[in-house]
Amino acid sequence: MLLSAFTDVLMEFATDPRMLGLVALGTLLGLVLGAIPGISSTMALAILMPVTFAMQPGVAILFLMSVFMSSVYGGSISAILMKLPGTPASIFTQIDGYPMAQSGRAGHALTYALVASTVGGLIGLAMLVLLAPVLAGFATNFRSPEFAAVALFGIVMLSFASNGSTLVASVVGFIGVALGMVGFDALSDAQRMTMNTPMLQSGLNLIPVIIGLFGLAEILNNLIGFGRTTHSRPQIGKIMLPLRELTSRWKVMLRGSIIGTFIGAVPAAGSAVAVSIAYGQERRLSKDPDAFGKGHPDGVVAPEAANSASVGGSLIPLIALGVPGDTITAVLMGALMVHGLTPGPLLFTSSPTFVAWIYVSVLLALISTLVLGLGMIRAAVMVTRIPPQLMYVFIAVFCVIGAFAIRNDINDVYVMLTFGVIGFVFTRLGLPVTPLAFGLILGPILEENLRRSLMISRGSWSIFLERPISAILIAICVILITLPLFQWLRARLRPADIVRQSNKPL
Amino acid sequence: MIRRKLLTTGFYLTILAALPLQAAFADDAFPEKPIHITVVWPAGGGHDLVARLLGNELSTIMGTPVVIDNVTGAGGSTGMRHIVNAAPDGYTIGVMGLHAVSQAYMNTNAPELDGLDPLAYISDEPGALQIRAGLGIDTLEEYIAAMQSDPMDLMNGNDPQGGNSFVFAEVIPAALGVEMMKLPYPGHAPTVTALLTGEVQTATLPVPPIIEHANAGTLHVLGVASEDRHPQLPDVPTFREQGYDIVVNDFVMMVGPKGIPDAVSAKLETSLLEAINSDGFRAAAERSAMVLRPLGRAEAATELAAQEELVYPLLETAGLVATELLRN
Repeated sequence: MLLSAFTDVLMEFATDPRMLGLVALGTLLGLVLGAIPGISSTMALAILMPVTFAMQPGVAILFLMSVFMSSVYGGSISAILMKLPGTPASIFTQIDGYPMAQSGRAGHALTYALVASTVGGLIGLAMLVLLAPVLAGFATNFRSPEFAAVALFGIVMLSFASNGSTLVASVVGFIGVALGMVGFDALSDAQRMTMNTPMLQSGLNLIPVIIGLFGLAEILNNLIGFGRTTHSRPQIGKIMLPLRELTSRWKVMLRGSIIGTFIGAVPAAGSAVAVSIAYGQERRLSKDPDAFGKGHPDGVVAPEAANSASVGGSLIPLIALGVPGDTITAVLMGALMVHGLTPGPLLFTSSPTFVAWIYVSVLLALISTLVLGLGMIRAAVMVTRIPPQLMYVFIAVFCVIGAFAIRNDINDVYVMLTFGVIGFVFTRLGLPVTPLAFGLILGPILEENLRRSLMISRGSWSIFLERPISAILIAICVILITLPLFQWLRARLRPADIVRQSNKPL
Repeated sequence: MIRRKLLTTGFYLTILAALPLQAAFADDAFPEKPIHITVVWPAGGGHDLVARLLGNELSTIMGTPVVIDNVTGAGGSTGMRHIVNAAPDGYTIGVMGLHAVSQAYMNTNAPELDGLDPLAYISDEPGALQIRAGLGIDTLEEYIAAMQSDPMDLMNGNDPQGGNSFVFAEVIPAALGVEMMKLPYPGHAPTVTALLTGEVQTATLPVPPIIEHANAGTLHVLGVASEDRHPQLPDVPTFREQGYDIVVNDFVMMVGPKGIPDAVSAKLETSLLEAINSDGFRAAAERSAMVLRPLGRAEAATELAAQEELVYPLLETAGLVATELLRN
């Protein structure tokens, strides 16, 4: 029944030029808004929501979905070209995307991001259509202990996510966890590390921290060598990738997409967690982990696929249960409610057409993003032709605008400036900054759910082992941590020639 | 070469720095520039929806664009401070609810309520008590009996201290004569999720976030803490009907900084009330299960004072009032 509704709606939309025009318009707006640092997908939706007040519900969904899906990829454009993540979910895209752009492969990086994003989105959509009831059941098994275990898993993955010493990465990661505690505690509303100042009471928002750590720190690093080194502009290079290059990364795309869909389907985990786990996982599995962070295409492909797939994933609890998976779907739900459509458990039976509308809208939006995105790459890479001294000014301005716009709070600009300096110092000292971002994303999730789990169990830690999903996740964490130890032991006990083989990273 | 680069940089910096210097001229014909509505919660929440719907109507009524600014952080205090510190010219107004009353006593950095001038009262958001379906407890009497036999058996999901569902979770069990085990969640959406996944068995959420689930039968509403039945839940009795005198509610009102000239304030009041009473807003409000009760400036101020008297003793008993803000 759902499938026939799906094809009916698809035919209706796809053959109506006005609808296709609307999709194109929504996609363009989403791409541009998503690419502006500080305007997240959430805000793009909220800004454009009043435009849809006068529209028919189906048309409004189509338009909003186009904006939403394209803004997810749009966030990667500024991440790759300017090292400024436009949305929290594109944090990991810039780690490898920006070095690629600097070495004249901006077009390639954008193409990788776009294709991975489209593939991830399609896989997420396919899983949404086919598995929504199953995955919704899976998602409801996730309670506080499971959330805590997922966050722990992510923190273990962080030690694989950066170059150099695992110990240093872990220490930096835990600094990030501690920074995540600043502000009002999510469970008791008590103040922590705020010194009773308004600025610290707001907490350290992820976006200003990331913009400072990556964007501003990059400018400061470049200013150190300014004038001394001849600053050649990076070549634009080829835009089009050989198809073989893309298809050979199908495994990476598939893994990223699956991680994205599942994490996205877990209510409240959201895309930022999905991309961090996908990135850490891919680096861990890679034959060449040291190339990550220096412009490895897999470092762009994995988080992009996960990011886009998590959209499909986060729609699962929204459509099947009426529970928004993250803030973005919460805005979407608000927009739908304005049009008198409340997602919820009654939806599949009461209005299958509405569900089909959403599916078709996602599909058309993905295709439209691919087409328009490919067309925009040529124009977007021209950004790299801007002379560096001018570019730095632009980036600095965008750093300030982006940090301010996220909460309309000037304090966030000071946070951004502080973390710009911290990022600069870290880079000078050779310390990795990525784990700091990891810690800041995962720390609060871990802490909140750990504490709530212990409240539920009246203080007994066995709650984490009694529940199968959290027990399995914790077991995987233990294995990941102890494997190097066993390898080291084996290396000590065996002759030297085996050492070389077993020395490859996990 | 270096100097030229630096000069170029300086030149562009100067241009960029000059951009915001657009002088704003005051005039007596209000409004003659866009009105900004401050929302202290992120985009997508209940207050945000109210502001955007209302802004849409207000812009046609007042003939000027209406901009929504989400000034978030610090439990809403950052945004409230933004409103209080804004120039009292009527161009910066905001949406507030119970949270701002709590914060005014819990956080020394939150603005005190006398820095605010109510402009219009929009709606009541009565407290309610929900329970998961399938537990064999469908009525308030059964719930009270179950709670009296084992208070730890049913856990309640609610906001952290100061949020509206926390206040409801203080008031409702006290009046029912039961002890409630409270589990905090950062916001209404996670609380709904916890209720549906079964991590908690009951919740003290207001009606809008649970209306769809109540209609679907996945949870039962045991009582509503208002004088009249909730318009969207006509079959659910109030607590009063069931013999417990519990009336507690959050509210949504429009406020501005203290000192807006009376003419401007009066014009805002009239236009806001017209917007609240417009068909478009009324229909949308009904769909999202709001209980509209449009009131003017004076009545809104009375309501605010009444809320303050309700919340302060609760916070004081819970030991949440900041030492400097304790009343003698």
